[in-house]
Amino acid sequence: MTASAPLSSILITPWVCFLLAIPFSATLSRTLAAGAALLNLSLPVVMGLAAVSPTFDSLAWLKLGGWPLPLQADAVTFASIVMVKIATAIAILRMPSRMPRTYLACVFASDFALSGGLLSADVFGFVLFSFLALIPMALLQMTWGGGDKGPVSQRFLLLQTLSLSLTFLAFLLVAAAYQDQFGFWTGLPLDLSKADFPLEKSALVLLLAGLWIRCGLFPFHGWLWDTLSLNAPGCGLILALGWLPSGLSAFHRFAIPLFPRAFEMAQRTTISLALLGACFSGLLAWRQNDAYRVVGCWLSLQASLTATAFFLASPLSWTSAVYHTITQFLASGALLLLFESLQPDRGERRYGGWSRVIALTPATRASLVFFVLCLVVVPGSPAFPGTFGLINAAFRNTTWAIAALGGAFLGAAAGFRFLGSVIWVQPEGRGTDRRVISLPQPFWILVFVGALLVAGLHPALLLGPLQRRNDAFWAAFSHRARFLVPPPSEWGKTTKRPFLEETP
Amino acid sequence: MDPVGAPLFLILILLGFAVLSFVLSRHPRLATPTSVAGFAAAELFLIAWSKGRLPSLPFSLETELLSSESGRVEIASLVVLMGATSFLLVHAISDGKRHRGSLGALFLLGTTGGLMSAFANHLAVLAAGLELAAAGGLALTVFPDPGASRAEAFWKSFCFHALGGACFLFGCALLGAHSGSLSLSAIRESMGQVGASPLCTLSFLLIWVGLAQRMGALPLAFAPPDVAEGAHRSAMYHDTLGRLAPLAAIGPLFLDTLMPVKSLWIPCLWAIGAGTLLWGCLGALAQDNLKRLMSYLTQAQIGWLLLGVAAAASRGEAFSAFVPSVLLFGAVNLGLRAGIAALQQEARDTDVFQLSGLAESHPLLSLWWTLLCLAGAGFPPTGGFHVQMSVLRELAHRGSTIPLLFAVAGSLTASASYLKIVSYLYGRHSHDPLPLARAALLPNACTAVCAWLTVALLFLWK
Repeated sequence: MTASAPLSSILITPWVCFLLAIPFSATLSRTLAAGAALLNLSLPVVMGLAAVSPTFDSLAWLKLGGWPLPLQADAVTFASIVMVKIATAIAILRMPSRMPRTYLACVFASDFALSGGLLSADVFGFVLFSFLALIPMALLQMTWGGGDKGPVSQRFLLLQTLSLSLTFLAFLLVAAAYQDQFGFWTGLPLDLSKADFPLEKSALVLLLAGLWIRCGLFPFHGWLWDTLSLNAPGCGLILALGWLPSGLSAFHRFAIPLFPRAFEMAQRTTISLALLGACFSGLLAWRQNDAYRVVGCWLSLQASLTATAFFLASPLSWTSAVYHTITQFLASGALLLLFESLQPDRGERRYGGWSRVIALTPATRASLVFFVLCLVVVPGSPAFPGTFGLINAAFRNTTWAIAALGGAFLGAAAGFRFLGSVIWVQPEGRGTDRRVISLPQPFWILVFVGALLVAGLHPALLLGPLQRRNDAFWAAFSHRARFLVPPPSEWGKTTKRPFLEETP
Repeated sequence: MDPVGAPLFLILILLGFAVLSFVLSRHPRLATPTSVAGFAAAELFLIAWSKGRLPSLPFSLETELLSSESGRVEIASLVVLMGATSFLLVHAISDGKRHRGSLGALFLLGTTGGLMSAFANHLAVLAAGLELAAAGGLALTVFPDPGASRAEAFWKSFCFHALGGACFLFGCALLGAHSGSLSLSAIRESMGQVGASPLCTLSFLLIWVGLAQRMGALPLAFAPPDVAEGAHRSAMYHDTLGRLAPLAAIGPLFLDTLMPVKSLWIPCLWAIGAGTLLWGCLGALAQDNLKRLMSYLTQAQIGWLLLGVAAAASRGEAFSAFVPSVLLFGAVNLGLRAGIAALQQEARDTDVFQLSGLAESHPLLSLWWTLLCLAGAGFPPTGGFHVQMSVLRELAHRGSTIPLLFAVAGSLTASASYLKIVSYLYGRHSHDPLPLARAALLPNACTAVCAWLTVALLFLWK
């Protein structure tokens, strides 16, 4: 069985859904679009089941206007695509009454582009799809955002354009240096380690800078919580469940494998900067009063920890990063939806003020507690195993481990402050939380809870079907990355290792 | 017909139709179809030439002043296409039937000038072609009725035009003096055998200054924004046909003839390209007037294109994406100006904030505008992404990072201005929106066609 059908159909079905929904009235369009989006969600499941087949080819080809576009999926991208589809379905149910068809077009376009970026095995294809995803996200902010949407959306667009331009430049430098063998990234190891590439360091710096900005890592984090503060319907979900995971996955899909030598030299710097960002974001989260900005700080913190896990480049840290990514972004997406339902008509955005005007239902209180505990990785939450593995991997260096723990503790402190301000304060008002999407609140909360439980506590269900793909990928990856991972007996020592070892 | 005589025949066809249009100018119902027929005849002739099916003539039209290389047919087709499209658009928005008759003659003459530049094999023909191409733009500045702003635009444009023309002619004279001939073939031989001298370097500099003025590039780039604000029709002409003629001249003169001495003129091209990109980007950031904004962005596009030409020429090759880039920039500029024409009928000044809320009242027009702005900014799914990728690829082949980073910075700055338009379309609400005119079918259609062309270019690009 080949991969062409399920992988290609993931990209084509958003447009089919859009064409189905557009000709009808707004209400019928939303119903049809939601049904089609749920069908769209089943495709990654089909892809996962197909991957179990021993004859499953890992590489598929999609013809787009005469362009052969290679597609490939591994564990991280598979899970990320599921999250993108969840975000699409929920965003459709959140359809506003103003310009509904334009909204549907933006949501499906972002679905297509984010899925394409996650599936693309071609580096230029990744950049192309990322550019395509920017436009609908920017339109969502510009058209339906609140507050100061003009400058914030422009800032988002320009910063992300800068990040993609830097990423594109890095790939271009590689392509220019290796024109003969560099046609596309097939998923097979592209051996650049023995060739002379004078601009390798420059290209790596450009690529890391681009991905750093994209993922909202310190010091390029400000756009993230400003964008979330706009509260554009659907945009926060797409950002948390699609854009950020896609950027983080690019670290392990492209950055590390393409520049092994330069990355070895830069490993300490990148990990240190990421952990600094984690601590800084945790500290900022503690200081925030605005609910959306708090989630933005948490997202930045978790993205920093995920990036650290990828940079550590060990099987344990990589696996931890996968769980960490999935659970954190699912929890943040659920929180963003909950916050929308909690905002009273007076527009109070300080979470300390909510409890004075809204009488929270028990289900809402329990949901808030559950998702916040997941997001701040409290032991016992479904998100804890991933972060535990990450910190365990970081113990290769004591300073790194302490910094990772520090960032996590600061984020947890902010979480408890949030819960204390919202959950355990007696309400003075009489209003209740309002309905913002078409589905009843308990239903979609259960969707998120179920996804988190599956992701956090049952890794075999999530990664098992693709374990063979993971093994093959890791074998190829670690062939080049082995010099980055010293044996446990050398952890904590400062001896310099040769950066390449020949395979026996 | 022998292809050797084809360029001259083509130019004679166009001149003939131009004269006929001028004679019939008092009868617009005859003049306009005559002009359209002239463009159609020229395009059909070029198509037949490209397929090797030229009609046979009983007389010979060979001349050494024009080159009949088949590689120039593509850009010649582009010149005719741009001329026809801009003519139809200006014709549609012109007030008063009695003025429309002369428009065809102006555009046909301009197109003739562009073809002379494209097929030139002699410096005098090149200079004449550039003058002819620019004359139409000057005339349109005060067309149909001169007002204060149009008069100011005319005089500014005329002074810079004269200065640029003088520099170009002086440069040609110096080059001719060094080579002993004004024929491009002889100059090529001379450069190959004798090499260059300090006099040559001065001549290259002067020629580039002259060409840059025609393109609206530095160092004489100060007139186009004022012309764009005061004389919208002239800007439509200048942004398409007026810029295409000097761009068409780069190939025959520098890439074919002066390539043996490229080390002497490429630094000049780098400086003009980088400076124009910087000028256009920074100027656009400060603009609120939509027409001036677009004029500066057009200059930034020219700078971007020249950087690609310079990067390719430094490797001794022609810029592979030259024709698609020119086509894309022409589509973007024409489409955006057609959109302004659809809005401008009632209002005199067009500020950016007046586009607020257009997405709600006119979603389709806003969609075309968005596609055109995305094409100008270099975003997929438009051909602008390919243009940017091509230029960056050429710069990457040089192996240094600084020009790449400069180009990216320039692109981002220009994108900010394009995206400002989009943000006003979708992100703002206005209590006093710009009224959409009485039915302006042709400008709306032109905007739509140009927008779809920019998308189609992404898939048709080879």
